[in-house]
Amino acid sequence: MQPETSSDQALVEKVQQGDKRAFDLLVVKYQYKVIGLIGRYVQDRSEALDIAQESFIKAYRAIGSFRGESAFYTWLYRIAVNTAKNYLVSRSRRPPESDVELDNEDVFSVYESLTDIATPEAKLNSDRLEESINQAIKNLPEELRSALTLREFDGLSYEDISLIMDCPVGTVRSRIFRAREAVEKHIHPLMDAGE
Amino acid sequence: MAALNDHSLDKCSSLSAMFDGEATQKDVEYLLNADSGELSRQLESFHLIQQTLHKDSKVAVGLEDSLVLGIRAKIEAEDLANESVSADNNLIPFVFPSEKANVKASRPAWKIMFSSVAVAASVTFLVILGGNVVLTPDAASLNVIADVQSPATNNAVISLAELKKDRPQVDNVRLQNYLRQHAEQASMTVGQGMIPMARVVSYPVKE
Repeated sequence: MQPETSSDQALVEKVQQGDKRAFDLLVVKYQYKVIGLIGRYVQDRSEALDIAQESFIKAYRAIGSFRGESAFYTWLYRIAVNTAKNYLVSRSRRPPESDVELDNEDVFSVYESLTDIATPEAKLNSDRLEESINQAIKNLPEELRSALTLREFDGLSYEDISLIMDCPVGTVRSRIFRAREAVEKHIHPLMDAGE
Repeated sequence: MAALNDHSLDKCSSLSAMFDGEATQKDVEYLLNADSGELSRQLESFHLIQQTLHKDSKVAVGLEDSLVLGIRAKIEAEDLANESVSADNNLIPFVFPSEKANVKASRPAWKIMFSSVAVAASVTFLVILGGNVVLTPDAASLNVIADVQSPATNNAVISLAELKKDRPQVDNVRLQNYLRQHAEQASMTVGQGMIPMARVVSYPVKE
């Protein structure tokens, strides 16, 4: 079993036993992906948030019947897509002809299609943020930058990166985390200003 | 303080691992005890970094824990509503008279039909039995002298034994007697009852 599937399954089992905090964690983990997915169906941010909320509530209500035959996100993905489609039908709007592919969904921007980012101010913030992130990544020590880019660009697992970089998996994990932490510190003032 | 920082470091490290789908059971335990708002903020920055590296559009949306809190509040509100409904179901419900018809309607149709037929049959049986008792003169009653008092007959006394010879006349007298008594009773309670009484007493009695 993949680590992600394993950790998700552990959280799902906790939710099934009545642990609501475990469900909070699943929401925290997948909220951006789900909003990004729903953003392919509706353009309005508040609508997307409402649909995301409804999708998570549906998932919570149905989680007792989730047996782990598929990955949790695959299951959640179906709920979110169906909820978004039903929402469009209820508003007499036509859902897209084809669904967002689950495999390709990851590469979509979380918010790229949501209308309220298209304002000039939002665009400016977005450009500044991108510049800042790129600058921060350039400034990273080599081993941190390599670990992060191998993970983000190539989508390699920690184990594969450890083989490439010839270091323990724990070290890979630590390097990726430290790289993110450094970038986050760099962009933190911009994120606060954007809120 | 150092321990706190280590703990916080562990949480962030665990979150990074979870973001990559590499979280272990221990990571999950750490994260379960963390503040969801803090985790959301951290995850948002991880997403932004990822989007930049993928050359996607970026924006800081600032979800923080608003979605988590909204979902939790809604779930708890629904749970509370469900609990109060189930508690209400445990009480014996009071049914308003206007609602009784609906309650009856919920019974099976065959039960309703059967009970209606049974009631109708009972009423019919009692009416027939009562009619036989009242209208059939028995041996004892034949010896009774019926007082037929009316303004018209003026204290005339007729023996039923004598009347037996002419049965239709006896029946006529009995009917007149019954009608008069009924009209008198009615006139005592309602003013309008005087009218039928006046009619009854004016009926000619065949001698």
